[in-house]
Amino acid sequence: MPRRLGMKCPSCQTIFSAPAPQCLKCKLTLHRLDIQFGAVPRYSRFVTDCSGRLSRRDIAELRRLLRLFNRKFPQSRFSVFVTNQLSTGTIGEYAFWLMNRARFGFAQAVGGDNYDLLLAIDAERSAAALIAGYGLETYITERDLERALAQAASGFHEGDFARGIRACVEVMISRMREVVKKLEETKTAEEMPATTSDSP
Amino acid sequence: MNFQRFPSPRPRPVRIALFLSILILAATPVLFTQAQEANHDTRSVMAQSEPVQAKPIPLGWKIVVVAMVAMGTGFALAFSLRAWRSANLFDRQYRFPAVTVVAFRLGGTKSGGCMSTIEFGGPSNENF
Repeated sequence: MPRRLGMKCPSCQTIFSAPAPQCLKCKLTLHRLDIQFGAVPRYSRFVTDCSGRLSRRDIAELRRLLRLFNRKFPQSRFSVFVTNQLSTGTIGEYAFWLMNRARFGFAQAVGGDNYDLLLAIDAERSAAALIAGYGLETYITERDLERALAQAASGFHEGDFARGIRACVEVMISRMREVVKKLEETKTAEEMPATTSDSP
Repeated sequence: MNFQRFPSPRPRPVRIALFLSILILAATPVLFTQAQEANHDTRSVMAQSEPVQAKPIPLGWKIVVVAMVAMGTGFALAFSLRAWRSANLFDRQYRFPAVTVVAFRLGGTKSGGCMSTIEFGGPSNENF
C-alpha cells in the first residue's frame, strides 16, 4: 500500500510533517545548496568515479549490474557517484543536491515520475548516502535504504567499493521486487471479489 | 546520455540474438539446396562429357570442412545463447503504480530527500 513518509531535512535531520519549501530549523533549500556546491560535476551513465577507487573492470561490471536493474525496473535508474572532492557540506546534502540537479535518469522524470535511486559515496570522508526520487518514496522507506547501506558497509569499510555497491544494489533489487509483488497481490485480491460477483 | 522516456523495446543483445537465429535458420536450407544443385549439375556435366578421372577430395579436407562448420555453428549457437540469457528475456519486469500526489519539499523537483546515510570509516560498522 502506498504510504506517506515522515519528511526529514537532508542536512539537520529535522522531521517536518507537511511539505515545506525550506527546512524549518536550518532553512535549507536546494537554492542554498546550489550556492554551496557550485556547478554540477561531470558524470557518466550509471557509474561515475571521481576518486579513482574503482578499477575499469569494476566500473564495467557495475554498469552491467545497473543496466540489469534498469531492465528489471524500467521506470527506475540506479546511479552511483563516487567522489573525494567534497570540501563543504555533508554527503546527505550533496546527494540531495546532485539528485535534483544532475540528470541521471530520464529527463522528464520529475515529481511522482521520478523512481530513480542515487548512491553517493564520499571516499575521502568515508560516508555514503542512498537517496530515492519522489516516485519511489511512496513505496520504499528510509529503513529499506538503511538496510541496503548496511549491507554495503562492510565492503566500503574494507575499501572494496565495488563489492559494497553491488551489495547495496542487490538489496534494493530484492526489496523493490518484493514491494511490486506485494502491490500486485493486493490489487489481485481487491479485484477477485468483483470478478466472482460478476460471474453467473 | 540517454534521455529517452523509456528504453527501446528490444535491447541490443536481443537484436543480435534474433539476427543470429534468423541467419542460422535462413542459411541452413540454402546450403542444403546448393549442395544438391551442385551434385545434380556435376552429374549432368559428367554425363555429357567424356568420362574424366574425377579427383577425389582428400578425407583430411572433408574432416577440416566438417569440423569448421561444426565449430562455426557451435560458436554461433553459444553466442546466441549468451545474448538471449544476458537479455534477461525470460525474467519479468517490475513496475510501480503511478504516483499522483507528491509532497514537494525544499525546492527539489526530483527528490525531497528521502534517504539514508552511513559513515564507514570507523573501526566498526555500527554507525547506522
